[in-house]
Parts: sequence; structure tokens; C-alpha cells
Amino acid sequence: MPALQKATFVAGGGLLLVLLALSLATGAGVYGAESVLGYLLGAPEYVADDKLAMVVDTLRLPRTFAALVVGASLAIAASLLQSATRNPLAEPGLLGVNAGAVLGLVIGLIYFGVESTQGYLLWSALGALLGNLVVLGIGLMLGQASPLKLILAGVALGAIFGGLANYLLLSTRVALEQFRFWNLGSLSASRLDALATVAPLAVLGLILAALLCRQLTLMQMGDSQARALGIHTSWVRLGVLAASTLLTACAISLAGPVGFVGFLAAYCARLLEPVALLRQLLFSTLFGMLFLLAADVLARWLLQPYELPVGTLLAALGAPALIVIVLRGGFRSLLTVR
Amino acid sequence: MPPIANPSGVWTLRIGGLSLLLHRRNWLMFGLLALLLAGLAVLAISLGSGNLGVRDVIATLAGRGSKLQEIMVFKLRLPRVAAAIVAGLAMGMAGCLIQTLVRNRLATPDMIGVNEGASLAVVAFALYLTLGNWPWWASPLGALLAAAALFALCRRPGEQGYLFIVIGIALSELLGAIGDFAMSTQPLVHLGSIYLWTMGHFAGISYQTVNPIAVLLALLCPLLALVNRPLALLRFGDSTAQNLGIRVPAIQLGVLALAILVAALGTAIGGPVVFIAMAAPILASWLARDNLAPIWLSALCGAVLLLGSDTLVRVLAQPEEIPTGIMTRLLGGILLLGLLIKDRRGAD
Repeated sequence: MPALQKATFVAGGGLLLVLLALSLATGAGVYGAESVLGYLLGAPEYVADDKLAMVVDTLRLPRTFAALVVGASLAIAASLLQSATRNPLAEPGLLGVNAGAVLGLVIGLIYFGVESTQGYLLWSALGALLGNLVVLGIGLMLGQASPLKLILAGVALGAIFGGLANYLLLSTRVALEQFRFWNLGSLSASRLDALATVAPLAVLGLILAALLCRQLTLMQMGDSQARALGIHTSWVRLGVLAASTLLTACAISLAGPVGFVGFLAAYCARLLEPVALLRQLLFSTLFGMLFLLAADVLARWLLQPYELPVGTLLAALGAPALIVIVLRGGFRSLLTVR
Repeated sequence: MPPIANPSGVWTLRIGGLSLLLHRRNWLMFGLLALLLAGLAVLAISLGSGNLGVRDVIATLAGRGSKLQEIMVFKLRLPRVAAAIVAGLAMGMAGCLIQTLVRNRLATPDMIGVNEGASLAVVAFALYLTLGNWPWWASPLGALLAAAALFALCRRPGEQGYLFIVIGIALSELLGAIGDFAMSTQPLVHLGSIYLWTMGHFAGISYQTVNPIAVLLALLCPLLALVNRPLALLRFGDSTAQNLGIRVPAIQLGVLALAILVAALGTAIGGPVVFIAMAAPILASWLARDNLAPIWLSALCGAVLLLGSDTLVRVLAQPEEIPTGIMTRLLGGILLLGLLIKDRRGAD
């Protein structure tokens, strides 16, 4: 591992710890870092405080863990999509996969009365699968020459899926208030039991992604080259589809559609390590967790006593980043293996 | 006297030494579309709760209806229909102007953030200043700022193709996020109608909003007619247009300013209804002879498309109120995907 990567890894890890502490120490309730730490370490005078227990167990701890799971899932899904479509601008949010997952979830809510976390997961996975299938199909059809066109296709898909989802919701009077906030992407409603269901599946997606890395790295050279090296490209694509669908569904069912975090994380990771996908995934995961956690802390802290939806904050930060990246054209140099 | 050449497919109107060419097909299409729009308007007024047949509507419009029918037509249904028509006309014109100027079918005010800027300004004024009336006049301000930002980022949009559009989309996302920011600090009970408006909604619009915008648009129309011809010549490229005696930078700037103003006025009525400005000029150029920028045809197409979508969503969703913008998003998304796939061989 080159020195720069090593330094980034260490610094990123340190920053993650700092952000974890910040995330546990900020938010509704008067408790600071000291009392939360005391509670978590089991100091008797803090454990006896019922209010503190409530704040940590039902508010701050679930939301912090959710930020880690959602950030990592979206970042890995974005990295996988970037490799599979050979497009450094790809991510589930920009390409309309998130919107597909939301549509799936809305259909489950309205027509099948889904209420459990498992149900949310299943339906958002079905929606994400649909979105991924269409996006990968269009990606293959458009070819490698048009990374910007794929983004436009993603906008079109997002419009179709989002239009349908909104239509269904508004025509059946599901609680608009709740959905509105969730639909902007928010971690404020995270619960530990939902996390316990989702986290193992996210880990499964992560493992699947890690297993596919070597083949995907070789497939960057083109399908025929990869086939000559003995790689079953269709099986690898199927694996990518499964992993990316699973990870997107995990993120959506926890936090709603959070855009741009996957794009930012995966793009930064690709800048740092353009070739070896396993290392790229490692950095992507780290960056995803960092970005989402930082954005969530900011969302709680910026407009006190109000709370911003974290997805909105990320869009406000991510959109200018996308503008700069597209304008400078740096993404074109990442199209092929250097 | 030399014989006067008569081009085919054209009516010529001669007044002394002047002759005016009227493209037969354009005018036929214009008439047909106007008829279609009128029919659609009558149908839209008659549809909905209460017994109101098409014949009753026509009688009431002619001034021979009962008191109840008059209230239903003039107070309840007509404002919404008029709002959809005026907004559609504006969106069709604005879309045609920018598409022709940038030479890109996807470059429409709703894709490049101009509409989002307009609606953000209106929402900000509606949220933070209690004015009583709907602050529609704020929209050109926001639209101009958004367009200024966009053109500061992309100096030569005509040559940047998809890049320009993607930058515009990112700008829209940014402006939309800022609008969500502003709205997320307010409870939904206060927001209600504003939230629906940001998705493109035509219910409950009064003449107080529609009338001044319609008057302003009518005042802009002579200017549009004036730039129509130089704009059509600009399509041949800057240097050709220059050689034909057109002051290219001045015309470009003028057309852009007009387009932004018209787009902002269109957005101010029913909110940012997406994809109408993209679909209308495409439909118009299918219908028209391909020699001019079909501004007027495009305007009529926009009105037909928007009124059609609004009526469709009203009938489909009864008794709920669903924003019209959701329907146009759905249909427009399919159109955009189709355009991209059709154009798949070209690189960006």
C-alpha cells in the first residue's frame, strides 16, 4: 500500500472515531460526551439515570450505527455500479436506483400493508432490483463512451419511479408528513431492532462485493479480455447486481433515499486507488461512513432546534462537487485503467 | 417583368412591393392545435364533480347558463384551466427558445435549473414574508440568478452538449435542496399548499395570479416575434449567422433573457411542472416544417400538453388532489429515456 493510502487510512480511521464520539454527544437532550461515555462504559451513577438511558438507547446510538451501515452500504453499492457500468459518475442515487427502491417500498406499504423491517427490506430490494436491472441494461446499451448520458438516463428513471411513487402515495393519503421527511433521507427515526435486522444483510452484501473484487478488477480491461482470462463475466455481473441491490435496499429501508454520499465516497476512493478494486472498496466504505456520519452530525447541529434531513444536506454539498468534477473533466481520466 | 417564383408549400401574401411567405403546413397545424386546445378546454371544464355537460359549458361560456352553472364554470373550473393554458404557453415558448439557442433538445429551463431557481425565489418569499398574495413576481429574480450561475459555469453551452445539461441538473439538485432546507423548518400544516406547489400544482389558483402573468406574457409576444427570425438563422452556426447580418452576441443575450423571463412567468403560476418545456418543442418540430424555430406552435403544444396532463391527473385521481407535476414527471421521464436510447450511438 503506497504511503498516501496508508496515511489516508490512518487519518480516516482517527476521524471516524472522533465523529462517532461527536455523534453520540450531540442532539436532543442535554447530555454531553462525558455522560454518554460514562453510560456506555457502565459507570453506576450514569446507568441509574433513566433519561440518559432513553436518550442513548433510543436516539443517539441507533442513529450513529444507522449512519455507519447506510453510509457503508451506499458507498459500496456506488463503487460496484461504477465498476459494472465503467462510469466514474455512477451511484444509486444519481442513477435512479434509490427511486426504484422507494417505489418498491411504497407499493409494499400501500398494496400489501407492510409494517415490519423485513417487509420494508424485501420491497425496497424488489424495487432496487428493478432499478438496477434497467440501469445496467441502459449502461450496456449506451456503452463506455457516454458517462454523462448515463446520468441523464438516471434522471429519467428517477423521474419515472419518483413520479409513480408520489402518485401512489398522494392518491391513498398515507401520512404525508412522515413520508415527506423520510423521502428526503433522514436517520432520525432509526431503531435498534431495525438495525439488528438490516446490518447482517449489509455485511452479507459487503462480503459478496469483496468476493467479486478480483474478477471485477480484471473486467475493467473489457469483457473479451476478462473472458480470455477465464472469468465468467455474466456470473460476475449477476453477483454485482445481487450485491448492489441488497446494499441499496439496506440503506433505503433504514434511512430513505440518501443521494450523493455513494458518489462522493466512491469517487474519492477511485481517485486514491484507481485499479485494485478491493482496496478501492475499503476506502469507499471508510469514506461513506465518514461522510454520512459527518453530514448527520451537521444536520443535527446546524439549525438547532430544528433538524435537517441529512439527504438534503448531502445534496446541497454533493451537487456543487458534481459540478466541479464534471466541469474539470477529471472523470474522463478515470474511465480506463491507467 | 420577370416571373415571380412561387415556392411550394407556401402561401404568399403580396402588398405592393412586399411579399410575406406563410408556410401552409405551419398555419394548418397552428389552426388544428388551436381547435384541439379549445376542445380540450371545454372538456376540462365539464369534467369533475357536479353535472356539467359539454353543451352546458358552451352555453355558459356564451352567456346563456344558469346562475349555478356560471359559478361552476367561471369561479371554479375556468381559473384552473386558464392557469394551465397560460403556464403551458409560457413553458412551450421558453423551451423552444433555449433549445434553439443552445442547439440541444435537452436544454430546457426545467432541466438546467432555471425553473428551480424561479420556484425557490417564490417559496422563499412566501415562507419568510407574509404578504397575503402569492408572490409570483419573485420568480424572474430567482430564474435570472440561477441562469447567471449556470452561464458563469458554462461559457459555451452550444459546444458542451451533455456536459451543459449535467451541470444544469446538478444545479437543479442544489437549488431543490436549498428549497427543501427552507421548507423543512416549517411544519406541514403551514406548508400544505406550498409543498404541493413545489411539485407543480394547479388547484386553487386565482385570477389574481393568472391575469397579471397573462398580460405580461402578451406584452412579451411582439418581442418574441422580433427575435424569431434571427434565432432561426442562429441554428446554422454563429459564423453563418454573422455573415447573414445578424449581431450574434446581442441576439443571443436578448433571446436568453426573454427565455428566462418567459420560463419564470410560466413557473410562477403552478410551480415547476417539469418536462413540458422539453416535450412541447419536440412535438412542435415534428408537426412543423423544419425551417424556423417554431415558437408559436411550441407554445400551443405546451398548452395542450399541460392542460391535458392536468385534466388527466384530475380525472384519474378523483377525489384526491394530486399535483400535475407528478404526472408530467412520469410521462416526461419516459420521453427522456426514449430520446436517450434513440440517440445512443452518439458519444457525449
